Amino acid sequence: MTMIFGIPVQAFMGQLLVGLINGSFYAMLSLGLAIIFGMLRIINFAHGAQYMLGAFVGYLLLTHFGIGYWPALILAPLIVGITGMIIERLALSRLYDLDHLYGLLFTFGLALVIEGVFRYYYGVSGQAYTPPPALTGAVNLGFMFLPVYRGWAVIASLVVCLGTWLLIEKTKLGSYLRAATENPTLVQAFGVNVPLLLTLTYGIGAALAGLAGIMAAPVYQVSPLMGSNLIIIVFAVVVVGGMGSILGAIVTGYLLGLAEGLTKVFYPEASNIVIFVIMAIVLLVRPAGLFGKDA
Amino acid sequence: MSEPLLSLSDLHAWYGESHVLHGVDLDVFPGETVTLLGRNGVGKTTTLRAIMGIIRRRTGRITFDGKDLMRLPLHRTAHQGIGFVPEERGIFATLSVEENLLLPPVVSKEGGMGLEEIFDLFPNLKERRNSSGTKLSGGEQQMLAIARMLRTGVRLLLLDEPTEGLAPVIVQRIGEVLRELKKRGMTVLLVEQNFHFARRIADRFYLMENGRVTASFPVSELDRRREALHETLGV
Repeated sequence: MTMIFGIPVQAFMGQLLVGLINGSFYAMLSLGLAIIFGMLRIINFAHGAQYMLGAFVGYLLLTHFGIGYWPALILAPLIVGITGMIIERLALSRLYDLDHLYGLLFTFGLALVIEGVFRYYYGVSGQAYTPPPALTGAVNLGFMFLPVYRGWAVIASLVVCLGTWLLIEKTKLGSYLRAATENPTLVQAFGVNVPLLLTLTYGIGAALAGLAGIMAAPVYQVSPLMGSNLIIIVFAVVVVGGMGSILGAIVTGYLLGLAEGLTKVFYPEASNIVIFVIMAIVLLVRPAGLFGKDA
Repeated sequence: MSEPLLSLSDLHAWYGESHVLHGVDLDVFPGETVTLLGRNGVGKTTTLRAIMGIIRRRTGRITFDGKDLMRLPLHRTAHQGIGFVPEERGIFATLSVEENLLLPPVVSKEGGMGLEEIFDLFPNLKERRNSSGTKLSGGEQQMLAIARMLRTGVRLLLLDEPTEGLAPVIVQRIGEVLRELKKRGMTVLLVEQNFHFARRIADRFYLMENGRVTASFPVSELDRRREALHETLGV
């Protein structure tokens, strides 16, 4: 059997793939968090709940309406995004003039409420979500078997991250977002409807969480707690990448996923904490984050 | 004389609890260049910011082309045809020069100058269109701050100390640009400390003291009032 650093290559690649999969979800979630933080200056603690909501929307569409994975891939982010926009309009927009702490507290409370409601109706045990036949099975790559759905999830998340990055860096809407992140008052004085832009931004961020949720449904189980388990890691990713840095959130998401996977190979005991160890080191050495600009 | 394009009457404004404008009255007529003079802290910048609606705590009347500006949300003011060039210039670091130039939405049906026309007026900006906005020199940033308002088709420009901290040759260039704009019928309300600069482009002056307008006179009276102005302005 081929070995890498004394580890069978199958096991090594397998863990690397798990790391890459986790990294894909870290990247999509931290990307949304970074966009929201950049524009609204709010740390969106409801992000995990919105991710869970995406998975549940997919699950409920399938079990109650027979609507499958592909339509759900559009519908789940759309529904989560629209509820996000309603939340921003009704509640978050009233908090902008207050200390940012209030936004954090509000979204934290909101997450507890959403998760509580789902826990009440569905309990804490996970529900299985079967991917469509086209995405089941595995392909033999020679050195390992790659489950088709996992390969799809990694590629789809790369496309989504790249697409979002292009939207922000290369389009007119993106230039409004970047400018309003720097100086919202002046952008509004130029005649851009910044309040609408804020609503849209929160909607896009929430939709990204919802998309990550429906994509995660076949990989992890659909459970009311799936978001709160993940969100703490995602916050660590955002901090390591640099608060508000879009590219930082994406790259760090994948890197930390891989770091976690590698740790599982070489020192499994530490795999649950490696991301936080990295966060602590980065905060000590480079407080603004790997991609952050020094404030 | 025709109707004023911009008219302020009994304008009061507050920054938080501090009452900064105490009843400002002024008119700007179409095609005019009007300069607000006054020492630091008398409320010149505040007047411009109150007109735009950036300062929300204000009372009195502001009309533009006969329309009441007081009720409009901030993002609707520019769409009436008013362009704002802030003192700090407000060039965005995360946007390229060209993105900065294209940022403000076009606010009139006819539109303003085309990109090529603007680049003819500001050749430096064309050369550096792909660099980051804040990599430009101070003078170039000022040009960019003015240029991006010309694309939008505004009828009134509010300029806050456009020559501050710039080399004489750049100041001269900005003067040329403003005279060119005037020829094209642009109306300008200018806040300026630089006397020599202002006298070459302004038609009329308002003097502000302690949040009020205390004098108004045409450029022809500038020399006669020179001594008194030096006293008031402390220059």
